[in-house]
Amino acid sequence: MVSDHEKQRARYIAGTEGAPPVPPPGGYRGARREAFGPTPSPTVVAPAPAVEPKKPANALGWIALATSILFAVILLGTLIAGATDLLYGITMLALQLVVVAVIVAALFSARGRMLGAIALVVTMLFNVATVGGMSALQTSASGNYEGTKTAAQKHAEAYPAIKGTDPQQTLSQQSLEEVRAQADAMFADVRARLTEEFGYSWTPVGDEDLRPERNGYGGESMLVEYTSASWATNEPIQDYDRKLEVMAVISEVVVDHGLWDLYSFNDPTMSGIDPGMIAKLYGSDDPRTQTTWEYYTENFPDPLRFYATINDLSNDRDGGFLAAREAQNARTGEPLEGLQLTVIASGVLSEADREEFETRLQDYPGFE
Amino acid sequence: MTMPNEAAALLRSNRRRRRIRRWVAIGTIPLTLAALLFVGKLLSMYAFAHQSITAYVVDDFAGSEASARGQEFLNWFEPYKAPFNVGTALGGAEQLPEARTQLEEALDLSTGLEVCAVRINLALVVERMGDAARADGDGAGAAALYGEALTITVETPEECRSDEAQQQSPDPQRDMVDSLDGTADRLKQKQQEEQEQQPQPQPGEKEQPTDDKLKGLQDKLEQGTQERDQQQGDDPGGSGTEKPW
Repeated sequence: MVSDHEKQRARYIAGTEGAPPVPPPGGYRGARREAFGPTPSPTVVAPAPAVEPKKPANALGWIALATSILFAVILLGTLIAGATDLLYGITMLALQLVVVAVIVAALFSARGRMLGAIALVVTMLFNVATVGGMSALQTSASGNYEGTKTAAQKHAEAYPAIKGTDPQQTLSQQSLEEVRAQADAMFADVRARLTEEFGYSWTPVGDEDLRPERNGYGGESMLVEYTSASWATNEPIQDYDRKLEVMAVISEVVVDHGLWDLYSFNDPTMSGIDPGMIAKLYGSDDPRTQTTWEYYTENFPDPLRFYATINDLSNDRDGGFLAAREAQNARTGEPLEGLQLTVIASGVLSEADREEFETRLQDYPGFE
Repeated sequence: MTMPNEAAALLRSNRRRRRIRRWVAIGTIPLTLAALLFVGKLLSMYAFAHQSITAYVVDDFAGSEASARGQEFLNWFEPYKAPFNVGTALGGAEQLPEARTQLEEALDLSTGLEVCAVRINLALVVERMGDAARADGDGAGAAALYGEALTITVETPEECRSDEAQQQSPDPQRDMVDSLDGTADRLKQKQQEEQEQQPQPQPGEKEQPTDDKLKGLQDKLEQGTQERDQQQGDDPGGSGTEKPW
């Protein structure tokens, strides 16, 4: 029986008493780190330990690497195609789990560990969550959320009218062109009367605006909201009685054009708006000290809505209204104060689109 | 005797190095987990928000709400978005009081330009509550709700009319200024209609319509109200609906 002490001694080479033991095969663990300076050269040349030839990575490692790269390429391709829904879909999630499983298997394999680690890095960078997040950001920026609509939903999305509105009423009411013509005629008559009676001169403000109307089924209808270009007086209107006279004249003209009498949003004795809100909207709940007067009427069941607004800087107590008007003036070039006339009509159809509207409606029996 | 000592020292230092490495690894486990949680939370926000929006656009309001609820976990970043998306989904599902609660919470949590979209959707939900009250014959309740909705709209900061606000809008296909102005105009008219439908003697008879005229106007307004209810009944805000974020 050989004692441990004898074993240790046996590791000494003859004739080299006092020399350190020969390093174990492969060398001491961490002996190459020279934390304490270079280790002294052995005085005796020891037989070099047999260096094992480096074994190539196994198939599992290569499969993990190839799979992760291929999946990353698929994800990036989907990102470029803008298919965020596909990225967050169950298919991609399942594929991602398969890729992770292969990588984990490779990491547990000694010969596949290196390639498995590389695959892991690739997957950490490009996976369903990271690429999905990038794609979601892209979709958010464009606002193009298609979702996974059914064929029926896609069909409804193209409905040319507006949900809840009888399309026949849309066809029977004033068209866009008729609204525009009536607005122009009304503006002309109001301007003529006010010029005749009070000597006002006029400035056109802004351009006509046609805003598409949504159909209530997630798409755009063929109808639009019409907002006329406005007309504004160049002269301020600051006297209380004069304001009433001006509104009375306008009311007469619009009644002649088939609209109802003007009514006031800003006057608490007539308005349905809470006095506190009136003060907030119009600068005060007393028409004599208000910065803004707003009168309104319409020609229901036709869609035309008429607004007459008087802005009065003489009632601006803190300069806030002036600042707001100056900002508005910078945007539209309109006079800072005075009377403004505007017409708005929602859900109107252009005569040029009427035939197409009727044709498309035939594909929507039962829709309303 | 020097060489064995050096070898022993080397072995000792290696052991110490291994021990340090192990403790560093153990010590950084919480940090690693926190980092993973942080990254996971960030990435999940995009996923839940996207799912919420896509579910909303296909009228799957329950799915939209469920996805938005996923945003509530560790709701540290842009915290208003979770209640905003939940509230918008609930609004789509006609659960208006619940939607209002969520959107009011979102309003409390939002800052800067974030309030713009929250206010627009909150006003739409409150307006629809007013529509529901009117349909139930509660004119006074409807008028009060229209007033609240108008207040919410009117108190929207002026910054919400800027280009920057428009760029951040969850509904970039619609102009935020148009949405605000359209909502305010509509609410003024609805409040006016409620008042006209419940005429009360007022001072200043000169400005009041005659009885016949008032009756005709009332009939017209009732007819108009019914029609507008039909128009707006199934789509909150009609053309101005905002989407979840």
